[in-house]
Amino acid sequence: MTQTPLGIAEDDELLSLPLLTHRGEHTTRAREILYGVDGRPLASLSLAPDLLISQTLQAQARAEPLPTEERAERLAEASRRFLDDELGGLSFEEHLGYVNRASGHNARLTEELSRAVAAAIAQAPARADRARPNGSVRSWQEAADGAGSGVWTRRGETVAAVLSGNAPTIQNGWLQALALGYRVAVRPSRREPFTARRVILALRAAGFPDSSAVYLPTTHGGVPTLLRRADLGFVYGGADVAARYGSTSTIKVGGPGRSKTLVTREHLTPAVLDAVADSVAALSGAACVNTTAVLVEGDHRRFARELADVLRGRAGERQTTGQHLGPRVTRESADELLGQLERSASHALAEIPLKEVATPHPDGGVVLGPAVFAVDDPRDRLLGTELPFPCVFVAPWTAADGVGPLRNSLVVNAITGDAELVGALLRAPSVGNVHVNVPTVHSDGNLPHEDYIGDFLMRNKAVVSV
Amino acid sequence: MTRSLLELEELEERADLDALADLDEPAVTAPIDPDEYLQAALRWHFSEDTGSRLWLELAGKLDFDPLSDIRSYDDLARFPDIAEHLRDRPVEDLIPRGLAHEPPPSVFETGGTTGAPKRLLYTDRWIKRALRWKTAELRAAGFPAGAPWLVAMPSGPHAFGHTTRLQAKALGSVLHTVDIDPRWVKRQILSGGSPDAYLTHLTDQLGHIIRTQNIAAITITPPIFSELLLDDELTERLRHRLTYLAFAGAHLDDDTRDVIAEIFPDTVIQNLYGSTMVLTTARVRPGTDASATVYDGYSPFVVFTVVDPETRRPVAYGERGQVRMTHISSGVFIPNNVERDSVIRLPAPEGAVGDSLGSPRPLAAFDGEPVIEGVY
Repeated sequence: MTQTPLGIAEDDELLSLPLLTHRGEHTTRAREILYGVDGRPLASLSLAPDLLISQTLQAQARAEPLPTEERAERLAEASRRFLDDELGGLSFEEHLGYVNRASGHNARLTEELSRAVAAAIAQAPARADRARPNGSVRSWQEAADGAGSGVWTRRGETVAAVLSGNAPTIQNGWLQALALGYRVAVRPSRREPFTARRVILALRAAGFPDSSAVYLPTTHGGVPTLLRRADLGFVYGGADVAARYGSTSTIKVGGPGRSKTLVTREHLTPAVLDAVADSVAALSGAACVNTTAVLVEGDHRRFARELADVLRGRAGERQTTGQHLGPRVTRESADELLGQLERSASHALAEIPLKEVATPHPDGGVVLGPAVFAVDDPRDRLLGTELPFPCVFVAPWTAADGVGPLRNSLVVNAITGDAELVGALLRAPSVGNVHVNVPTVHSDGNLPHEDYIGDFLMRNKAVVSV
Repeated sequence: MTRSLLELEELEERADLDALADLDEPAVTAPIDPDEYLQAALRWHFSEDTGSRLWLELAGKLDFDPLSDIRSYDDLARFPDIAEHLRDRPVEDLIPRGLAHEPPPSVFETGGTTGAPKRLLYTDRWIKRALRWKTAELRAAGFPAGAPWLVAMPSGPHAFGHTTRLQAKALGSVLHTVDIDPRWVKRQILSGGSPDAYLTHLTDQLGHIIRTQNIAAITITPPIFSELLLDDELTERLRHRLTYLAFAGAHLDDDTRDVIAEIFPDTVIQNLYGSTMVLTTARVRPGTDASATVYDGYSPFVVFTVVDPETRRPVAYGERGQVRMTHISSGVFIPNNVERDSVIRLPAPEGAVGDSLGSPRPLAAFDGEPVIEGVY
C-alpha cells in the first residue's frame, strides 16, 4: 500500500489509468480511486492539472489533422482494434468487466453498448456528413468548379468533450468531431472512464497521432479550463450544466431528457404496453431517451397498473442475476435516489411499492427499478422527474390538453393516428425529437439526437473561383 | 531580573546581526527562551501602560487571567479569535500604548475572502525584523541577489507587494512589479464572470517586462505564471535567465510544479506559504525536496499548531489537520488565529516551539466545498 497525495491508500494491484496527452502517457501524483457499484476499488485515475490541460490543447491547436480519407480509414481500423486488440493491458472482454462494474448496466447491455461504440467509431465520418446541407460540398476544390458553392468548414480546430457516465455511447459526439478533422480533448466521466480511454487507445493504435485525441480526466475544477482552452465544447449533465453553459454559442450542452410517451385512446393495446415498457426499461432506464412520463387518453390508472405488471414480469427473477433489468448502483446512491423519490412522489399513487424498487444484488450493490406511479393531473410537476433507473409517471391526457404536457422533452413518442397532433409536436420549440409510434429509446446512430452534431461543429463558407 | 519584551526583542536582533555577520546564514531559531519571551509578551500586551486598548478591554471579558493562567504556547488556544475586531475597530485601538511614541505603523489588510478584510499593524520594528529574516532566507535559497526581480503580487492594501520592495532593496536587486487586485478577481468569479480579461491584462503587462528586461527572479501566483508559459517567446526568454521562481497567493499542486520544473530544470522553485494574520510567510526549510517542502514558523514570534478541525486538539505528527497560527511581537498579539488551510503536522526544528507544516492546501477544497482562488 502506498499513499497518494490525496491521502488515499492505494492498492498497487489496482488498474492504473494515466493521462493520454499529446506527448503520450502521463501519470500524475494527484489520483482518484474509482469504486465499482459493488463498493470495491476498481482503478486509480490520474487527474490532469490545469497547466497540462492548457499545454495539451495548445499543442492540439497547432497540430495538423490527418487528411480526410486517411481519417476515415484509420477510424475503421480503430473500430476493429477497439473490439480485437489488447489495449491498455485489457482485452475487450476484460474491458467489459470494468465497464460493467463501473456503470452498473447488466452484462448483455454493457456488451451491446460497447459494440455500439465500436460502430460509432467506424461510422463517425458518415454520421457527421448527414448534417451537411444540400448546398454545401466537402472541399473548396469541388466548390471552385462551376458557379461556386458553400463549403462545409470547421468552426474551429479543437473540441473539449466533458462526458457523463450513463452510457458508453456518449463518445458518439466527439468521434464525429474527430472525423471532421477536429483535435479532441476528452474529459471522461470519473464514474466510467474506461470506454473513452479504450477508444483513444484504439485510435492511437490505428495510427492517429497523439495530438488527435487526448484523455484528460480532471476534477470538476479542471472543466472550465478545458472549455476555455478549446475552440468548441461538448458538455453533458443535468439541469445545472444546461443552465451554466446553455447560452454559450461555442458549447453544446447535452442536458436532461425528460422523454415522454403519449398514448391516445384507440391505441391502448397490449403491444403498446410492451413498447412503452421498452421505452422505460431499455438502457437500464438511465438514458436521456428513456420515457419518464406517459400521458394516457382514457383510464390512465389502469394503464399504470398494467404497465407495472408488465415491467414487474420482465424484472422477474432477473434482478439478482447478471441480467438484472435496472441499473446496479452503490447502496449509498440507492438510498439517495429512493429518498429523493419518496419525498417528491408522496402524492402519487405507487403501482409498485417503494420497498420493491430496490433489490440487493448478490455481487454487491443494489438493483433499482422498475417504479411506476400514477398522478391525476397532466400538469403534475412529477412528469418532469428524471431518475437514472426505470421510473415512470403516468398521467391522464385529453385532446383539450394538447401538446402542453409534452413540452420540455428530448423525445416524444406519439402513439396516435392524429396527424395534427404530430405536426403540433414538431412545431413545439421545447420538443427535441418526435417519434410516431416508435419507442423513445429507438436510435440507429444516424438520427439527430439534439440536432445533428455537424450543425454545431461546421459552418458554410462560399467559395467561388474563375 | 525580569527582562521586558522590548529588551528581549533587541537582544534577539543583536544576536541575529552577529550571526549574520559571522556566517551569512540565518539563525534557525531566535537565541531567546520562548517561554521567557511569551511571559514578557503577556506582561506587555496586558499591562495598562503598554497594552493596546483592544486587548486591555478584552482582558476584562476573559474567563481566565492572561498573566497567571497562560503558562505555555498551547494555552494560547484559550484566547478568543479576534478577527472581528481587526475588521471593525479603528486601528488606534490596536496600537500598544508602549509604542505610542514610535513612528505610526503601516496598515495592511487581508484579502477579504472570508468576509470584510482584517487590518494588521506592521510596526517599523517588525518590518525590520521580518525583512532581515526573509532576505537571509532568500539568500540561503539561492536568490540571485543583485539581478532583476519581477514581482506580480498584490500591493495596495496588501503587505506582499510592499515587503518585497524592501527585500529587493536589501538584496540589491532592481524590482519590477505588476499589481494584482485579488478582491476584484474574486468578485468577478463570484458574480459568475470569467477572470479571462483580467488575466490577459496581467499577462500583457508581465510580457512587456519579460521581453525588455533581464529578469532572473520571479515571484508570482501559479495561475498567472501558467498563463505566461503558454507564450513560447516569453517561456524561451525566461528559460535562459530565470534562476529563482517563487509561488504564493494560490495553491500550487505537485503535478503543476512537476510540469514547471521540467521547463525550468535549473531554477530554484519555492512554494511560499504564509498569512497576513501572522505578518509574514513561513520559512521554507532549506534542503527539503520541492515535493515535500517543510514550512517552519519564526519561533518565538510566529508559531504554528496543527489541530483537528472538530476537537481543536493537536493531530499526530504526519497527520493532516487545520493550522492555527500565533503572532507575538511588541506591535501585535494574535494568539489564536485558525486559518482555512489543511496541512500535515511535522516536528519543528530543535529549540523552536510549535509545529512545522507540510503540503498546505485550502481546507474548503479538502471538504469538497468550492474555493474561489481565481488568479490569486
